[in-house]
Amino acid sequence: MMEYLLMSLFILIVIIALIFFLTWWQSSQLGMEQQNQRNERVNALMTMFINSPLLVRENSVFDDSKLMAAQSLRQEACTDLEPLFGSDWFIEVEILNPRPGCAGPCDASSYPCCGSWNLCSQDLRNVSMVLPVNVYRKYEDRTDLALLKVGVYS
Amino acid sequence: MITVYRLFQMIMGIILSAFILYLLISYSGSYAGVGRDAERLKTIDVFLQDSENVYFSGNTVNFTRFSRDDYTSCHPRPTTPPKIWCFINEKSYESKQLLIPVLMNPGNDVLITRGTMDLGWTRVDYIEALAGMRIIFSPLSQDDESWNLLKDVVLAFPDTGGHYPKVTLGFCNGGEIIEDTNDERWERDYFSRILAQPRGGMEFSPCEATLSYDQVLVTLSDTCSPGFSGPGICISPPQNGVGYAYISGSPEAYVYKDPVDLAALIIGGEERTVFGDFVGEDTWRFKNTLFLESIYLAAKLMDRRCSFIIQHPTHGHEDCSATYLELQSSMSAIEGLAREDPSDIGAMSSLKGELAHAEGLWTELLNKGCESRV
Repeated sequence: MMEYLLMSLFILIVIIALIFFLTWWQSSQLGMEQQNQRNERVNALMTMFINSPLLVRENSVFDDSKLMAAQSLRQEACTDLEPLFGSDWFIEVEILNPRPGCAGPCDASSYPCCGSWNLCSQDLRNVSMVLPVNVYRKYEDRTDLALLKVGVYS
Repeated sequence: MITVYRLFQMIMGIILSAFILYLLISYSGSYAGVGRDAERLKTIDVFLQDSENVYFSGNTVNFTRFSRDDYTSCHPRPTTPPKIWCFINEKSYESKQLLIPVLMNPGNDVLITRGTMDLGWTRVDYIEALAGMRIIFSPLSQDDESWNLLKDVVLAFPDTGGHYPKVTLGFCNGGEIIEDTNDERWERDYFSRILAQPRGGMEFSPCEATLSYDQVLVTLSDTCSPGFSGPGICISPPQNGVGYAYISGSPEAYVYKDPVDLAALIIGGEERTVFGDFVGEDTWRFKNTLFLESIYLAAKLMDRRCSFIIQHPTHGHEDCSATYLELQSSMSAIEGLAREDPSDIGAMSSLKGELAHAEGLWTELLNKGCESRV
């Protein structure tokens, strides 16, 4: 009698352990999948921004007048861009080797002597990617090299 | 004779075996279900990733993963946010938020291509994911504007030369369907060359031919009305590029202002979802949600950009300000009109007119050298 009970108990323990293992494995897979999706989203956003006619003059060449226009909308731009780019993202464009004294953030008062734009930036934990791009300076009719940082808040 | 102890052993054995069997079956059953659901959602996700790749690169892709299950019900729905919705084996599946306009008519093999609507000052790209389709036109309207509309609608579809599956086009004249030369079906570019020839008194009689399952009939006629009885889509002749189209069996009238509106109705077609909605209507609403949103946002940013350029004119191009000022006022009008109901023919007609005006101003800016062609 005892050995049957023990054997049944043993089988039950093995089955329950198996269930726990599969559930744990599934949830750890989900965690990894979530991380992958976040990375994929940053990648997709990067591709979207460097191709979007809303901000670029041609692929990978941002137009500073378009960046100024988007930036002038401030928080409204984030809400407006949500149907096209989703939520909880930010972009920063920073000119590499700006003219001396012209490295500061761009706004209506500092333009054209400025070198960075940011949209929807917040002081939150994020995952981001950086890519070299060009920025067409409409006022001066020239093209500068810049770094584009795109990220999502986690 | 069975002892009480033996009887106890048997009952305990049966109870334990049943319990273990129940645990195993229920867990493996739900685990298999979860696995199947995950696979279907993954397939939809991979389809979206491929669509995004095509959207950004412009390179056509042949997507074959829909052959693993029946994904024919998948189509975009104009929910908030918009998503691709599928109904497979009595279960519904939803994709993540759709950020790109995807017009789809899925089958086992799907050709994913990119189309573009160029407005001059901005452009709106869209994706067409189509299984094999045979679009048959019955152009009963005699006016030139209808013939020109037909040319534009054809250009809204992809040319599938060198690719599979094929989207072919043809005519229906009475009981006859004309869609090939020497058994080779007409694809978009060839069909466009046929349409480019002067109409020259070519006359068509109402379509009476029996259509196969993959043929979609598109009728252009003055007699189109809501709930028309014929198969396919019926298009009333346009007035200044705007008009009504109808889906067979639907009491609604759908306003079209560009060829992609009609492409959305044709691709979605007269199929119904489990909720009884027409897939064509869902696709048309979804297209308008994303297109009007894109145009609204592009106009809002261009409005600000014009104001900014007027304040900071490019060296040597100070004389552009007047045109930028006019473009800015056109953008303000477009912003308002893009927020209107796409079913309002008056508003859509005004939007079409304003978009044409803005395109003219943009061309003027290009000609003056204020903007450059890229």
